[in-house]
Order: sequence, then structure tokens, then C-alpha cells
Amino acid sequence: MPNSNESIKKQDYGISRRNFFKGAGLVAAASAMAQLPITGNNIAEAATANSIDELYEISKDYKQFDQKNEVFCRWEWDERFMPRPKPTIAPGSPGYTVLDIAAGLAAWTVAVSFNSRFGAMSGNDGLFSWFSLGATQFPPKPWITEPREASQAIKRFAHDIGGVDAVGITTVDPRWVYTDWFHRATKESGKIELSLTADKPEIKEDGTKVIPEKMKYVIVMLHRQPFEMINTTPYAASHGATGVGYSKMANSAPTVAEFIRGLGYNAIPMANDTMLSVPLAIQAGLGEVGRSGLLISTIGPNVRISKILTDLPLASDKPVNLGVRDFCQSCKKCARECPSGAIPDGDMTTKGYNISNNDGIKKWYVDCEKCRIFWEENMGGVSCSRCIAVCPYNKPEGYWTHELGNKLAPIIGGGLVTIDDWMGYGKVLESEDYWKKPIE
Amino acid sequence: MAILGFILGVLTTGMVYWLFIREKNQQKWYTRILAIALIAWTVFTVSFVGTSVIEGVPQAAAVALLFFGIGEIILFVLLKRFTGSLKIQGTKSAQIAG
Repeated sequence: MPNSNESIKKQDYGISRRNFFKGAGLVAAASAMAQLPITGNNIAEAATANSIDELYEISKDYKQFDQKNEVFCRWEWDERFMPRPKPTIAPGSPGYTVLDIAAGLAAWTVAVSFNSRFGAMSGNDGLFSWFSLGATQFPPKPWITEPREASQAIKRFAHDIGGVDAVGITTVDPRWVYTDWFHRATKESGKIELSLTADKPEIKEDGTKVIPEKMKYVIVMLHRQPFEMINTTPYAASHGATGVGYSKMANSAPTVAEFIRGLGYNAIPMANDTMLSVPLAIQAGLGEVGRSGLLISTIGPNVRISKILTDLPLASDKPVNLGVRDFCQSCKKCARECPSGAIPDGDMTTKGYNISNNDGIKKWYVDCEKCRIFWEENMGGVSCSRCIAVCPYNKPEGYWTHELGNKLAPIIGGGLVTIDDWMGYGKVLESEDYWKKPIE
Repeated sequence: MAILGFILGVLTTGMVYWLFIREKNQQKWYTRILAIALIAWTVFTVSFVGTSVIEGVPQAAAVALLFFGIGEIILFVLLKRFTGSLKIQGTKSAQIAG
């Protein structure tokens, strides 16, 4: 028979120890599981919608955009920008050394080679040709399959050719097609026409670009820009981050287009030309428009967008509500940090600042004239990406802590910006520190 | 980090049990909830700070440590408050005192 002390001991420490350890062990395991490596920096699972109109207020009076009114095109013809603003920064200043400038320009190599003009001219330029580049040929019979399988095959291929970080698929909404194209270098312009009768894309003698209506599927692709490099903005090296984005586009969009042609279908690869990229990306379920006017995508704002138009039947993705606009409403970090003051800190509106804003959609409009003028002052055209760099959604990929932050952002709102500031995110990475950063 | 989190979780579990709720009269539903919260919070804090260090942002790690550390102290104090003194049972001094 056990003595009284042992009985007391069993009474004190007995049965609940096991239960306690069971419960706490489960918590420990759950906590550990929550930190398993996350591939990508995907924003939380989102509520989906059937169309962009369910998520955004778009006026019935909304008019299609003329590419000539895009601020980079206006730079070539609009008196508003004459005489040109003088650069306030000269080469050789800190952040604008030979090393920085060389990097800023060299990163554009693929984008500006082969007469591609980084796909930002009028369409059908160089690698962004509307017709076969000769790598593949139309097969005797086209590949026939279910739209869902075709979408999967396109996404698989796009993923594996490199440079494509997210893909979504949608259908053409005529509202996002430019009425006219404009070529910034030659200053030529012409109509863009959706044709019921055309069988193949066509460039008419009068310059009209004809897109068959049967080419109604749009593959939208996101291309990440280097995180460290973009954080040097507005210095010269950060211009290279933009160049990397465009170079990835110049590699990926024409390659996917050529793949589709090899399957026996028409394909038009596009960068900034022919159609508005942001609404198409939203329709394809790749993100939302933020206060900066840029796409805050499922993988963050530090991306460039390309798209491919095709008649290969594809299954569409659905628009998503990530809670980005709720967060942007209280965040305002991009508006605070924008060196040109181009980003508003007020509420969403349906009226823009000038003809470069396509009025009629309830969102935040950016004063792109101020933005473009700042670029010119910035050593004569070094692209500024400060709004991308400081955005709390702009974080390096692969860290569960940022994934958690993305999930909490719409709930915590502006308070998260304070924490983001305290933690040191969004600071300008000095050029000399950028070059010394160890390579992981 | 997940393996480290699991090991840390097991170690914290043992420590919290030993320090706070080893005795029957300390095993109330609210002390168990507090204990589990403290364990989860510790694992979370260490993992968050560790991840920020790995990411190479020491300022973020420091802020996270400060921020989550406050929560850690609050939970610790609450648990101590609801489980009586922090006297470790079974030690020589406790036996002498008994």
C-alpha cells in the first residue's frame, strides 16, 4: 500500500499532465505547421466575383481609351510638356554613377533588342509581332482539347519558360481595347478594330489593326521585378528593375504566343499596347487596382504585366477581392512617399486629373503628368518606382511573416503601415549599399 | 523553421507545465488556456523574429521582438497571477520550507 505522501503526489500531479501535454503538443505542432515554407508571397485566399463590374463601379458613360492620350505618348506630341522640364540631377551624383547608369540601361537589353521597343509602342513591334516568328509553324490540324485542359497547358508552359510568375485567363472586354494605336517613335497612329469577319489578325494599308472577334481569350502574365533593385528607386539602378520586367515580358509573351501558333491558333503578344493591362489583370483574377493606380497583384505590386490574345478556347479565371482597396483607403504610404505628389491621399473618385486618366471608374486616379515630369527631372528620364517600393504589399517572396501581414492588412488597415515603417520597410536602399548586398 | 518551432513548442510546453500548472489546485480551465496561449505565443514570437533575422532585416526583428515580447510578458504575468507564486515544486528549498 502506498504511503500518504505518494497518494498526495499522485493527486497533485496525476491525470491532467497527460491531457495538458496533449493539448499543448497539438498547439506546438500547429504553430510549427503554420510556419512551413510558403512558395510565393501570395495574398490570402480571396473572395471571387463573376465579373469586374461586381467589384468596381464602372460608369455606363465610360469611353474606350485612345493610346495617344497615354502620358508617355503625350510626351511626344502634347504642348503641355514643351519645353521639356530640365533634369535636376546630373550623372555622377550619388546613386547616378557610371555603375548605376550602366545597370539601369543594360537590364533593358532583351526589351529593346530585335526592334521590340519593349512592347510599349503600338503593338506588332519586333518580338511582339502579331505573326509567326518562325520558331513554330501552324500544324496541319489544330490541337483540340477541353478549354480547362488548354488553360492548364498554357499555364504550365508559361510557368516553365521562366520569367512568368503568375498567369490568369480572361476574355476580351471591348471597354479595355484602345480605340487607336500610337507609335511613340514614329508618331504614326491608326484605328484598332474588332472584326466579326476577319479570320486572322491583319494590318490594313491605312494602318488599321484588325483583331478577329474570335480571338476573344486573353492570357495575362505577371513578371516580377528584382526586389532589391526596385528598392534603390529613384536612383539610376532602379531603372534596371523596370528593364528586367520589360525584358522578361519580351522573352515570355512572344514565346507563349509562338507556342499557341504551334498548336494551330492565332496569337497576339502584347505589352502595354492594344489593350489596358490593369483591368484585364483584374478580370483574370490576378489582383486589384491600388491607390497608386497600379495592379496590387496576388504576388504584390512589384510586377509588370503582359498579355496574349488568342482564339485557342480557354477556361477563364474569376476576378478576386483581396481587400486591397480597403487597405489602400487607410494606408496612404505611396501617397506620402511619392516624390512628385502625383498620388492622391483622398477617397476614390470617378474623375481623373487629365486626358491620360480614363474617367468613369471609381478608383484612385494618379496625376500622371506630375509623375512623368518627375521622371524627366530625374536625370532625364530615369523611371521612378517609389510607389511600388514603399507599398506594404511589396515584400520579398517566401517568408510566412509577410504572407501573414498580407492576410491581416485589410483588417488592421493603417496601423499596419506604422508597424511597416517601424520595421524599416520601404526605405530607399542606397545605391552603394545595393551593390554590397550579399547574393543569397 | 518549422522543425525549430516544433522543438521550441515541446520545450516551452514542458517549462510552462513545470513552472505554472504542475499542481492539481493550479489546473483550472483558464490557467490551461493561458498556458497554451503562452506556448503558442512563444513559438510564434521566436519564429517571427527568427524569420526576420533570416530575411536580413534586423530592424524588423527588433520591432517584432519588442512588440510580441510585450504580449509574452503580459501572458507570463497573468499566468503567474492565476497560479499563485512561482515557487518551483520539489526543489530542495521548497522541501525545507514545507
